[in-house]
Amino acid sequence: MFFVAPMVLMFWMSLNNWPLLGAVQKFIGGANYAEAVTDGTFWNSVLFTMKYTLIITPIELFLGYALALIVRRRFRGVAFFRAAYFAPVVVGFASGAYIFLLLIQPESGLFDQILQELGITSAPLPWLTDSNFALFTVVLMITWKTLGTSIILLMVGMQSVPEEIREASLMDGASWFKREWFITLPLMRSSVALVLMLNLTGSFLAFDQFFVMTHGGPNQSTVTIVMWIYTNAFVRYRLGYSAALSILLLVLLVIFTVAQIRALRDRSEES
Amino acid sequence: MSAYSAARSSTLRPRSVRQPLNRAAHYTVATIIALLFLFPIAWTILRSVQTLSVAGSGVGPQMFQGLTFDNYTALQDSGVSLWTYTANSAIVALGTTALTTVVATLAGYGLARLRFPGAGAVFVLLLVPFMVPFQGILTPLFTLMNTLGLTDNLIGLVFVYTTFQLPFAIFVMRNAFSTVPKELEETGMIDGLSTFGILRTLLPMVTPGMATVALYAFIFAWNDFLAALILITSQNSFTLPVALVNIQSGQFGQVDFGVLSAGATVATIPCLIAFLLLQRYYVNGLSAGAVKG
Repeated sequence: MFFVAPMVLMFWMSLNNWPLLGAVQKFIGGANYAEAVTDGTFWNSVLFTMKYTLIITPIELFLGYALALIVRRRFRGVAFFRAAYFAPVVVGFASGAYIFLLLIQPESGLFDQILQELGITSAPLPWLTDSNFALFTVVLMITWKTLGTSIILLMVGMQSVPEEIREASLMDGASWFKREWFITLPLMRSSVALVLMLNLTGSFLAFDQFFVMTHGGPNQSTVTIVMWIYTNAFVRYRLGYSAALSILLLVLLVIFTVAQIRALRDRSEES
Repeated sequence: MSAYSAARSSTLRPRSVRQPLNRAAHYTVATIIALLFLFPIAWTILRSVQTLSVAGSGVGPQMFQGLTFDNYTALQDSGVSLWTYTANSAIVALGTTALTTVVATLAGYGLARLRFPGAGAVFVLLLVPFMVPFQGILTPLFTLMNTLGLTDNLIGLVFVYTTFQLPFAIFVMRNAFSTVPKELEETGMIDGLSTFGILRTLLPMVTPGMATVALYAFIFAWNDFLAALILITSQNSFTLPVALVNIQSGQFGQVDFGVLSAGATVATIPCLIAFLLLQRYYVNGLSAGAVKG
């Protein structure tokens, strides 16, 4: 009898989560999709989202790995460092965006003040007013905010490599680099894969930070896919079109995810 | 020292003791990086109690002059007060936390322990929303909520957040329950306890799991922006992130960054505190996810 309670709850949950997809209104059939295919802004947003993803993911992976190296062993105070690196993660994307927004203000923000005092620049930088710079600024913010997760995950992966193997290779005279590359890294494969997937997928769906920091500007140059979907639905009130875009997004996402899984699985089967 | 003897001696010593120069460098680098990570938050907090002129006066001791809570008062007076937004965020976050924890515990127990037909299928069904993030179903989500009359309603938001947290939460709880030794349950059954009774005796053992679930749910619900943006339309019900957007877009004439920094501080601090207190549960959650991946 009490079996039912958890079961019902679970069904309720799955019901809640699978709302009526594809509100292609007024039976205009595939017209929305046709429009999507020719929609310049949409494809721009796809390109931009990919560009953003491809820039930020390697950065996260490398920096995450480097910083994980620093905090993976137990030493006095390591808990403090791990917490410090992780703190930005719990801040939330919107809050993080605001924090950075404050830092890059020309007159009252810290970044320009420091740079000018150090003599590196003599005028405020175009943090958000130049397309490429805007991307850089957002990448900076996101890196700051999300590195913690990557660091911890990679660290856990590193720690799961049996100590004996590393020590054995040390005795054999292997250099530090060789140890990392040939022993630790391959054994951490699943951690690296997880971090990779989380970053790729997360970046693909980016919205908050762009909405808050750039509003898709300057000149629509930093519009992500989700932002375009949002704009269509809630600014232009075109729910049907937005739904069509959403489905396209899901399709892209599935393709993307499957590609990732394939690519990562193939390599681990080789070894 | 030759490389060989250096290698030898470091395997003979305990791993954590390195040569002093290494250690100093290690600490220095680690500290510099820690400062890099922490200063934005620290500065935002400081900024929220500075006046505009102090903020623009460069880095140095003058940064700490004339600190005032003016920004907070302004925030309080603007729009619908700051406390309303904070309360809204709190309601949503706590509601989500409570609901998620309860449901996940029940469901996790059900999945881990109780045999019922289709358990496997349900579990797979569970993973589906895990893989489809809510950004992907924005529009239909909104339509659904509209039909149900739950837009512009904090409770509706709680439902949405709970739904998206549940897959992960149930997964964690299921894992937590499956590590509980069966003997405890059998003792309960011999003593004639009902299923719920047994569940209650097991609760202390899965408290870490519950803490993890609660922490994640809270942080997610508190910080979420997109769903709140879409589903809440009247100012009275705005949560903090959304309210901040309004300040930023200069609803009150010129954008007042001091006020914005005060708002950002209020938005940031609860999560920081929650994190500091419950750190290991956060890492716990990450490892749970990592094991699965």
